[in-house]
Amino acid sequence: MLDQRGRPGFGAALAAEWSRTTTLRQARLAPLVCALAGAGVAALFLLTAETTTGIPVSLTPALDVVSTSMLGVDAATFVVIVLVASLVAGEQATGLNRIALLAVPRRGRRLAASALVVAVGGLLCGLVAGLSAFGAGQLVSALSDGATVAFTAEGVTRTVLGSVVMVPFYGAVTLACTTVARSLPGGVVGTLGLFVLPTVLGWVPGDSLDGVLRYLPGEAVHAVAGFGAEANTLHPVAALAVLTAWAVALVGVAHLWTRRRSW
Amino acid sequence: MTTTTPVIEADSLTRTYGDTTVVDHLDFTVRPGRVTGFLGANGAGKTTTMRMLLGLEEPTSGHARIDGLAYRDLPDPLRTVGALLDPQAPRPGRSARDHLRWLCRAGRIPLSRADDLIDQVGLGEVAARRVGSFSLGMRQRLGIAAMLLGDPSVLVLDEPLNGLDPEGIAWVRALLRDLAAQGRTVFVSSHLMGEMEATADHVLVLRRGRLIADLSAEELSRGSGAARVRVVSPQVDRLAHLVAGHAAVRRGGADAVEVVGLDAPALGALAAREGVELHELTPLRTGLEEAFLALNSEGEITREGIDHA
Repeated sequence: MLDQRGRPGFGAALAAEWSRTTTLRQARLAPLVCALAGAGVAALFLLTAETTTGIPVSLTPALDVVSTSMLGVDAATFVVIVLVASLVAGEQATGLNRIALLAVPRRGRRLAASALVVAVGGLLCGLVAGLSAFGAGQLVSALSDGATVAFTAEGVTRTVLGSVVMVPFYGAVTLACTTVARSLPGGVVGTLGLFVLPTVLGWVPGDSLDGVLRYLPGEAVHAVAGFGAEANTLHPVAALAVLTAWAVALVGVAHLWTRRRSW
Repeated sequence: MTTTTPVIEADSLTRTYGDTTVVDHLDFTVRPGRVTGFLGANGAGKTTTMRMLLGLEEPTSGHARIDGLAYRDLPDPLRTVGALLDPQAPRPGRSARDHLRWLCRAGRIPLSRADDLIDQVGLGEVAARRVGSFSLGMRQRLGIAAMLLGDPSVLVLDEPLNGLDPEGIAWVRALLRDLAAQGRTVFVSSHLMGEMEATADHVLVLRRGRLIADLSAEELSRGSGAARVRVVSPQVDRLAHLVAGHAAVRRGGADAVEVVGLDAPALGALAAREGVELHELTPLRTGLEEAFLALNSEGEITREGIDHA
């Protein structure tokens, strides 16, 4: 007879989700892939800066080198989006999702545990991507006789750590979108739709949407990282709250959408 | 295992998709201590019923309960119910041991239980191998290990014999009988009548979403059709002449016939009365498969026999 350890609650669901995710090779390799993507894309944009912007790295201000390097975090975000969508869609396609629901039959509890695992995993991937992108940017700048800056210099830490926030955020959004769409393309397209929404709305003539734009995820990430004009952006803490609200709302919608779905 | 006697209950359980009724007002109870076969042709509604039972599908109306509760309301689901649904479900890239361990974590089950069960189902040597390299039979064994992780008192298996070799079938059959003998509730769906005949004590037969039989396997075989008797006699032609009008006679060899419609005692009495010499008088058993086919084509079976629709 098995010993009784108490009824499984959210903690057990969280432990199971973490175990299920981290025992897959794709998930274990994700931080490494994100680090490589972050460093590679950061280096690529800086090495081609003279061609694309007309300003060589050697003449680029140190903080601009850092902000350009953070395009590497965007690359890591795409890696995480595809990884999360493929894992979620794969579970639904093979039927593993049914086993997971038998183990944790309360669908909201299971989805919340998944979202938390994706957020923590995404944060880890974002951190390694952000740090490697920063390091690659500084290396390229140094080799090009450009300015370098310490991680602890004013504005740098916020730019790097603020940019990192987008990885767990879009990971959670991908979880929600893929859960609803039940397919990898559906999850990726839905997430990228939200990703580019501020850009699309920015094409609307006039300033009528300015009040709305800063509450969209893309602008909120910029506010956390300190990109853009201070006057038009939210306070970093408010921007973090906006991102959290978006993530919670989208995962909540996914739960409501699928709570009576057949699996 | 818990000391209570949980049962599976369906109460007017119904599932429709648009205008199509897949499960139609099912009422049944599955009791502990025996293997209950859930029989029906492909598409009869067995899997949908099991999914509703396990909370994977929402009933259109009615209820499915285990131990008096809907599956999602069970306080400790893995320790109450073990289910085997789809052997292909485990992620190919994960090892067998890791697959069981995440389930252990979900149910707050000691991780050592995963290793114990891997050994019990004969996968000890391949526990660290990826599931993607497993044969279907090995995946079924892994699914059975997962099913037994929480030492549950209710077991629900959907087509567990699919794809198994004869050795695997014998193993599953023995396991199910053993689990039932331990007092557990064992509910097994299958379309393989011959295999279920050797396994099930009780059967529920489903046809187009409706329950058409709920009785012991023996009752199903007995009640499924007319008596059949093999008779060997040097006076076989005379015997055939005597029973004509009472039963059908099929030639089964030079001196043998198969009489359908009279049982062995009646046939023996008739032969004695008429002085017909008999060398063999053998009642022929109706197999579950034949009974099922008769039932599926003819009507609803009761303990008294087939009630032709």
